[in-house]
Amino acid sequence: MSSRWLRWMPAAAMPVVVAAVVLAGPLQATAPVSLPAKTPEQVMALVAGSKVQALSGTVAETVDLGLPQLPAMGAGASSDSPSGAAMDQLLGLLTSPQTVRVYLDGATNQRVQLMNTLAEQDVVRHGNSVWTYNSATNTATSLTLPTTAPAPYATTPKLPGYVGPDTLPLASKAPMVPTPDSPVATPAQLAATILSNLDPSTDVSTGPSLSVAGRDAYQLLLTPRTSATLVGEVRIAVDAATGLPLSVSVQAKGSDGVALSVAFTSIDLTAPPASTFLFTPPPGATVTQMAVPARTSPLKTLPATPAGPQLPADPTTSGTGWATIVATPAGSVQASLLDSAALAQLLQDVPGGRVLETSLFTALVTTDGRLFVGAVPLAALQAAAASQ
Amino acid sequence: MSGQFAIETHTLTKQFGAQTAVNGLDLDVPTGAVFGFLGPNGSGKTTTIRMLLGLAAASSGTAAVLGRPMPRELDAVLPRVGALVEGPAFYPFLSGRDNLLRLDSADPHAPRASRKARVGQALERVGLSPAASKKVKAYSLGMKQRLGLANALLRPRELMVLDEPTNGLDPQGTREVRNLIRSLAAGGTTVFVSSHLLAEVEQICTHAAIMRAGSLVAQGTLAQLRGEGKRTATVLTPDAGAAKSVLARLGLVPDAGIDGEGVADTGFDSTVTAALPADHLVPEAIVAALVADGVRVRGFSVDTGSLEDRFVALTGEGFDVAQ
Amino acid sequence: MPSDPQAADSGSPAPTPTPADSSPQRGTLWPLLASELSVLFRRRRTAAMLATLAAVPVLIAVAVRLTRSTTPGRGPAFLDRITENGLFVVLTALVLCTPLFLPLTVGVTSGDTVAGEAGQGTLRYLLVAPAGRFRLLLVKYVGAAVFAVAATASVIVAGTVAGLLLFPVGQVPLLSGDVVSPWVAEGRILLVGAYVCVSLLGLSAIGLFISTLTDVPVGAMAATVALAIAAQVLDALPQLAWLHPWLFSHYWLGFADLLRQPIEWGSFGSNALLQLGYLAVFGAFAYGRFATKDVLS
Repeated sequence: MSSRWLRWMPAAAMPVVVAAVVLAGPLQATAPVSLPAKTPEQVMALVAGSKVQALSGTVAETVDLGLPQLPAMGAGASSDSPSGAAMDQLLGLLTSPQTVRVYLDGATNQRVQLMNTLAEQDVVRHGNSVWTYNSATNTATSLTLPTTAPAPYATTPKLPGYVGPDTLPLASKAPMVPTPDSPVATPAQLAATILSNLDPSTDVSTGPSLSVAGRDAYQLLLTPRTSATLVGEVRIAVDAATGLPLSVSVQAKGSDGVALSVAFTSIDLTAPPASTFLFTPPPGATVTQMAVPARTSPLKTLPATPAGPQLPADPTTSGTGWATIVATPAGSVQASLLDSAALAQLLQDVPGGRVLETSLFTALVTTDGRLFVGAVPLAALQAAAASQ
Repeated sequence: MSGQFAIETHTLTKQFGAQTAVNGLDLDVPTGAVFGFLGPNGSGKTTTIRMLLGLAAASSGTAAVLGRPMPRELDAVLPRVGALVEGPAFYPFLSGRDNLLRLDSADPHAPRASRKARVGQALERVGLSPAASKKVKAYSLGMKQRLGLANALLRPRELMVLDEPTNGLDPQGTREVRNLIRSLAAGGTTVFVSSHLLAEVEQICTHAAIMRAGSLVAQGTLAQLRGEGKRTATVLTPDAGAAKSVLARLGLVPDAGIDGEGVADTGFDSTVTAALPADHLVPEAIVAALVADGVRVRGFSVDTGSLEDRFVALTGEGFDVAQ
Repeated sequence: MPSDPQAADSGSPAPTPTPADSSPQRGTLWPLLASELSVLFRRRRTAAMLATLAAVPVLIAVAVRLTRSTTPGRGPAFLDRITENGLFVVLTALVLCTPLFLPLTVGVTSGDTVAGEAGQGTLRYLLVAPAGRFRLLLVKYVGAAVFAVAATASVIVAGTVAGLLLFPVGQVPLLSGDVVSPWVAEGRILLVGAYVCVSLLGLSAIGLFISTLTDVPVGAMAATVALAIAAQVLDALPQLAWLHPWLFSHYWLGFADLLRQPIEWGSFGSNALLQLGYLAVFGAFAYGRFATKDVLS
């Protein structure tokens, strides 16, 4: 009967309406943006001339490295040793999306909040004083930077528990992958790192303009000229008004999906309230005072605390540009590093050792404890291992 | 036309999957009637009532209640209809009074100001005032039945639809319900009573309809229904054998005597009965023939069939659940 | 033909006088809603569920008070802060109740809405009254939503009282490490309560829909609760990451975003939109089903 069908109309219409609303959002976001044309050089100059000193924003980091995904774990629940727990946490960052709030005001006021479910990790810098706070463990760390503080953006302080993403490709020159205690690389940091290390091995072009966090942006496309790397393309969205990089995404070769993306989802270029950068540890928190060693190489800044895994001695490199392979000497990888239950799931046995294969990089731990890492296929690492 | 009928259906049909529960029902309930809706259990009475009250949608056909099409004008019709559908049902953890208050507030037409007073009156009318504050889970089936009737009586109604209203009531309660129905009818309310109890219908109804396996097999005034049954002539006589042969000579088919040994002339009174076709002789001609033949006629009667005979004849299985 | 609307209209109503006071009081939802709430909250089952929910923070507070030893990072979030600040009793209780106890009670109540009346037989009397199917459904949903509010309030009130009685209250540290005064913290807790209530709206709509599918209330309750658990299991499987933002339970624990400094409103908004979507879709399904349903119980 017709009246019967009429009563089902809302039920038929409502999913359509909801779907329309859901789809309308992304469509609006991907609406074409028209900006005056610029050459890649002009866009890079725009980035270099960026004068943004203050902002509040939310950054979404998504990672899809083709790793088998692990069920959500409680912090350190699956590993007994501290270094194994740290590795679990790092792997969590590598396999699950993160949301980070960033507050900047001038060169020396920074606050970064890594927002976990029911918990948060903060890094607050005010002048030379830096606090970190972890709400899950209710622990705070204080340290005072040397007066010749490094420039903002490019660095975040390295603290205990730092597991050494420097051993990962691309990050070999500056930190890129978030670490438990300095959880974030903002798009600006990441873009600065990549752009400052551009060399002729990279083809730079511009892509269609787009809208990121509600702002019109140019798009830089960086394509490795070599076929020896796993990296297919790097896209950087640059705010047309300020030159601030708003998003960075990396695609693996031969894949349409984004392997790694760091993007502002919202941004406000006004200065956050000054109180944002004033941190006092809450009553009841365990506070640790830290001394800062002189910063030379990121690998050497690591304090040898029991909580941090033992990191390798001086690494050697082979290959150039995107196909660079970083190698550490025999015995540099200790068993404790592989204690992580999660890592054990990710490692595969191959001739000559165990390998962690992702869509963007490969890491090989040889049977004699050498570590080879690069944004290259496994065969290249095996060849490098065999030749040394 | 519509104004004449409180309930009027045309080829009303309800199918549940492949099973037809109600099949092409053409029901006419005259306004002001006390209408008995008869049929064995499972013959489709309750399903019909559910369609009339808009609880279930008809598969095909139409229904009009109080002159308005149902279920299209349900909101306008139902406030004028009181109903007891397939037994009473209440919130066991609420008192009888609170149950009625709840159901009354479900009706957006019911005036709020008089709610408590109307609930009190309805309880009084069914004799439940003393138990009004008891929780319904402590009620007997008969008390629940009364409470169900009280719910139907919460407001003045033009039509009462009562499905098995005397179910679970003791004889006194049954009599009270009969009186209640009579007083409602006297006030001008049309009463539609479904029942499988013939005696009940026979005592209070002016009209009736008989359902069998989802179809209407007869409807009309009570007199019409009875009249359509066979008439039976009964002779009370000691000369049963002689009486039988006289009746046979007149073209009737006499039955065996009820009393005594068959139809033998025992000297004791026995009865001889014979079905009387409608177009057959007038009864007095039978008596004349019997007397003329020297049969000692000590009693003679012609009975129009009881509703029960009619019911059993039409529904075959009597009270068995229809297959 | 009585089926002909004209004939039906021309037929004057029966001679019986129409009651003078029967003018439909349009839009008067209140009497039925008041009656619904009164029936809901007079049920012993409802009282028992609210009491059970209230017992959760009380048990937590008593247990912590008696043992006095909590290791940071062990047990549910905030548990280790209780000894320092009583207000954390509420938050710990909400962390425990949000994934399990609250969905359980809301599933029972919303699954019972229509199926309970149908199973009891009172549904036919409400409809014949006539309550109106849309009106009844609306009242039933509002009833379930009010229960969700009452359930959350039960945890918050009991938790606040237990916390205040058994533990000291002072400056309250937020997730970001900043501290706020107890009054500001209680305001944040009320915001968290509002967040949790909103979180339960989608589940209530699902329960309402399931409730229209059956006459067996226990079945509808069980199905609703099972869905709430299934949604959380799916939410924990990273292989289904694409599905996660569409699961009604996805933002349930996002209330922690209200405990950051400054408040992160993003998840509140996302959660509210998501729940609204579920409410719209399952509300429409429930209406479609209930408005066309043959009431045979």
